[in-house]
Amino acid sequence: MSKKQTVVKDRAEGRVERSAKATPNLKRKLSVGLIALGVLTLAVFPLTAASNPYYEALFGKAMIWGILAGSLGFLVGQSGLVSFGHAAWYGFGAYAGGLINIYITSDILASLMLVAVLTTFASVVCGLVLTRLSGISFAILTLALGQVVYSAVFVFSRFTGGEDGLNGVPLPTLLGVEIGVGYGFYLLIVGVLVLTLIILYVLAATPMGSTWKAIRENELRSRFIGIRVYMEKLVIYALTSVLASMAGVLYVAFNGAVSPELLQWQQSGEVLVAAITGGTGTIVGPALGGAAVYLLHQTISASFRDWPIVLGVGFILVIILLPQGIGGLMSRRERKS
Amino acid sequence: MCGDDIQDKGVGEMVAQLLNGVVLGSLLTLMSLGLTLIFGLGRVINLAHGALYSFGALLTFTLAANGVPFLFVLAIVTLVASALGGLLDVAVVARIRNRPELHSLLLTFGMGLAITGILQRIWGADPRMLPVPGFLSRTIPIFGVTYPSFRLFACVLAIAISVLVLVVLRYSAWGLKVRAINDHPQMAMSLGINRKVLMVSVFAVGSGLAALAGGLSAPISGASPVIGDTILIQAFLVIVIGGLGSVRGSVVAGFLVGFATVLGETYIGGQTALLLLFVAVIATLSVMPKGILGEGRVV
Amino acid sequence: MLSTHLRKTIFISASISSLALLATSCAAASGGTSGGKSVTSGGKSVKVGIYVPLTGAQAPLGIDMRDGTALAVEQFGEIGGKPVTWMAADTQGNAAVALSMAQKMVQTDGVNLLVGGTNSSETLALAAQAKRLDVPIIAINSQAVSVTGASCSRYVFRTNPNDAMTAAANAILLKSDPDLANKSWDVVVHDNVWGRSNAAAFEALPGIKIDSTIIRPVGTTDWSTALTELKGNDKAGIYAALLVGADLPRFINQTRAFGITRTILPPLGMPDSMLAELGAKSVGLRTGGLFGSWMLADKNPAMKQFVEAFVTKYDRVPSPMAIQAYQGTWWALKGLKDSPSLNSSDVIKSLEATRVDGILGAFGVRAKDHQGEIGMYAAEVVKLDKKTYGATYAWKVTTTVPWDKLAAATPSDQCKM
Repeated sequence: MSKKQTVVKDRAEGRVERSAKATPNLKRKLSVGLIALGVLTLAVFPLTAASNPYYEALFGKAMIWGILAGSLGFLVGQSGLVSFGHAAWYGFGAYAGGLINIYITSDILASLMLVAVLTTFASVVCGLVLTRLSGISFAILTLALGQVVYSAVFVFSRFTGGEDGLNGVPLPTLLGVEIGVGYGFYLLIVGVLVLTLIILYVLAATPMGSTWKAIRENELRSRFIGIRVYMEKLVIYALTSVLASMAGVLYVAFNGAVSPELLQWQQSGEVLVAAITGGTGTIVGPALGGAAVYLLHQTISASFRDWPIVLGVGFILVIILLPQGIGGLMSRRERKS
Repeated sequence: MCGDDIQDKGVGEMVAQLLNGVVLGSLLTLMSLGLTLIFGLGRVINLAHGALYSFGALLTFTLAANGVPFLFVLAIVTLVASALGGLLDVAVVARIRNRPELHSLLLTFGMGLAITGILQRIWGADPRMLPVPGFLSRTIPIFGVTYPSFRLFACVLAIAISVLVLVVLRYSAWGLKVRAINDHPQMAMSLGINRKVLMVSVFAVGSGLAALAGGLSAPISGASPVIGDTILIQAFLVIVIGGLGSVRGSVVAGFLVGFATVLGETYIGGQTALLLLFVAVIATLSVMPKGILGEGRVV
Repeated sequence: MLSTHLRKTIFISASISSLALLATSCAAASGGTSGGKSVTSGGKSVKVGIYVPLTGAQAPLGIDMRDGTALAVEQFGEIGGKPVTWMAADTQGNAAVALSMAQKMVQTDGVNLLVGGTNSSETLALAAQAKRLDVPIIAINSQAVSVTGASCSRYVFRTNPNDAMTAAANAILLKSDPDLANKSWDVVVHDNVWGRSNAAAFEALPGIKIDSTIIRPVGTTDWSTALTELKGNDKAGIYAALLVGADLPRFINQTRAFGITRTILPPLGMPDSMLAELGAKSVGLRTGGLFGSWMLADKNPAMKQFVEAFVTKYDRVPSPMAIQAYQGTWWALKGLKDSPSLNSSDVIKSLEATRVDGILGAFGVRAKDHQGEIGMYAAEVVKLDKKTYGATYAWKVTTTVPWDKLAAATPSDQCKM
């Protein structure tokens, strides 16, 4: 047998190649190192830029996008469910958070918790209908749901401010102290991002995480081996929706206002682009992708207004040229179909 | 006599709104036919369809502003857009021919973004208005109401082209192959029908129809790089409610959505109508995945 | 041999880190120092930062405003030996972006003055952070009363007429013009705060007859259902409080296409670029609340000079927005010049006292709330006998409504600075 045939035979019989064995440890070390470096850079950066509120705001919002894209990337990467309506939960969180801040309390922790409860409820209700389906049907349903939420903002414009958006959201407080939207809040965002990533890492490593991956690989077979597919899909859908809404709460507190553009399907699409480009095969990839896409968006819009072209062409290239880049999950699926 | 006047006015308004519904429905149908064909053949939900509509509107504006007679403008726009569509298929969409359908959804989204951006580069972001062609700038009395003749012309032309497409699908060799792949891709291919080549032509035809719809609407609603985005959402409603891949379904659903939108705008508010329509989409996919005529493909 | 997704992670992390480094180095290079701009010594020039939408639905207005302001800056020349320069940032019509752009211009580029505000939410967003920005903010198009009312700030000055004044001016028109006084009206507005309050103010006019109120979202492309709903007869008028960038011209276009020849009254008029797009369909439009018209050049030599300079530089006539921008900026620059220093407190005091004789006549602001003491114009669109400055259709002013007739409509008691 030729060397190639031996390799193929080895692989088929489950003998893992040596180079593959050597990577996990190195990979883990490198990943942890990179993440730590990233967190440190982001936390310290505003100080080095001499507390420039413009950069604080820029990187703060980039990290909010990191949370948002990270949650979507988790949904796509772990369970294979591609949601084209993730911005709906982001917007839901922003509007709910904003209304809570105006009428009930401006305490950021309280808002986060209240909105988490609201979103859990809402996303479970919606998920009951949506997660019955998979693949393109699921994607279409999420797009439709996103549009329902978008229209709802206008239908209930008495509460949401409709066209003009929700304005006058007070500055956030933390346990009675007004922390404003300066460095303190920035650190809070870093904290939430890190916590989110840790939660996602942990979840991926649990049996539930394995179940999700099983569903991603072959839903029918998973059902046959006794996995309660419907329930598991519902859980991950609700979970990632809640995380998206957390990003929304942080956004509205940071911004003091929210407008309906946040809920458009083009926004959902952009988050999806960010998550997929970042690499849904990893946990941290989509988050980094989210931050990167946001920063690029701001930088490019500022200088030459051609952001849609850059994003569009960039994404086309990602889809065409980096199939394994899309988390590796898609290429694994291909082998079956 | 007073009573008669009020009655006439009420009836007149009803008739006018019905006409509005037919006009909108016909344009939506034209737009959705292309989407349906592309989906039926390639299982691709073409999110770039809206950008092609915008392209059609903008090119119509430029050609009309330069004095080209309107009917020629429409013909040119349709042909150019078809060529562009075919090119896009060969150059971009074909690259991921054998991938899962979700890839196509994402790819066409990227395409749509890029095309809209390019349109913005060329034509600028401002909406343009173009005058209605001279021979159609009058209003004519119809069914007792005064209605702009151009809207009627657009409606009639849209319906005519849609009928033409249906006829071609039913009676031509090309149509036969398209329907075959639509119904049974594996079987059709094993019978020797070349899906790849067919896909190019379907993408071309679909794009041409979208651009034509845009061109027909341009004298009414104006032209801008983002004008197709709203229509795309409405067309999306149509193809899901009509049943994904069902041509007849999308025709019926096109008019249904058109009427629903018009009635909604008048009586309950446009946004409420849209909200209900999207709830209908969710319901359709969950409960009647084959759409209202039961002829759609379940995905 | 690193796996593919690890490679991707490294790539993305490296990209972000390099972006971050790039951003810092850009900031360092352009001389943006620590929070807040330098106070007295400042840079080598006096900088004006313009915050307007250059893209999006309101871009036509934003571009007009930028051009008017830019011309004023360039003609003003220098202050205290230093040249005056301007820079413009695209707010995309979005309040959050406007704030972010304003912060960038103040903190990174060191502007001494912010001018702009095509829509009021942009100005209000800046006003909320005015203390942090610590530069005067000159609103030259923001019309919400709250800008100099409940949400006023000592940093914010408004040189254009506000909504209450527009309502009063249109009321004056309706009372005084025999043609319009006896009409009944269909009211067509947007489904937003401005639209609804406009409709309410109009419908509250004493003795006015309303046939119907029709509400449609911003960005409506097809007005057919609304036009079918109009209840008035051929003699009735249509009061159309719609956004002037795209919605209003589209509405007028489709209304005329439906064969409806009734008088249309947009409360603020319409930019001249839109008159050109509409062509003959724009003839006969009436308004009571125009901010200014280039046709005033016939009566006012200062206006004539401005119009000629504008046409020469930009190859089009100045719209009412451009006129307001020029006159407001000119006044602000005079205030800057007369100020003992570029320190914000000094400038604010100076602005409160500055009076100029501008292209729209004598101008200054009310000290109590910083509302500009400016008049408005009733006008009608006409087709010119011959092309003037490149325009065929223009607003012909029929009446000037001076400030003293409008002051009462906008009391200053709401503002507690």
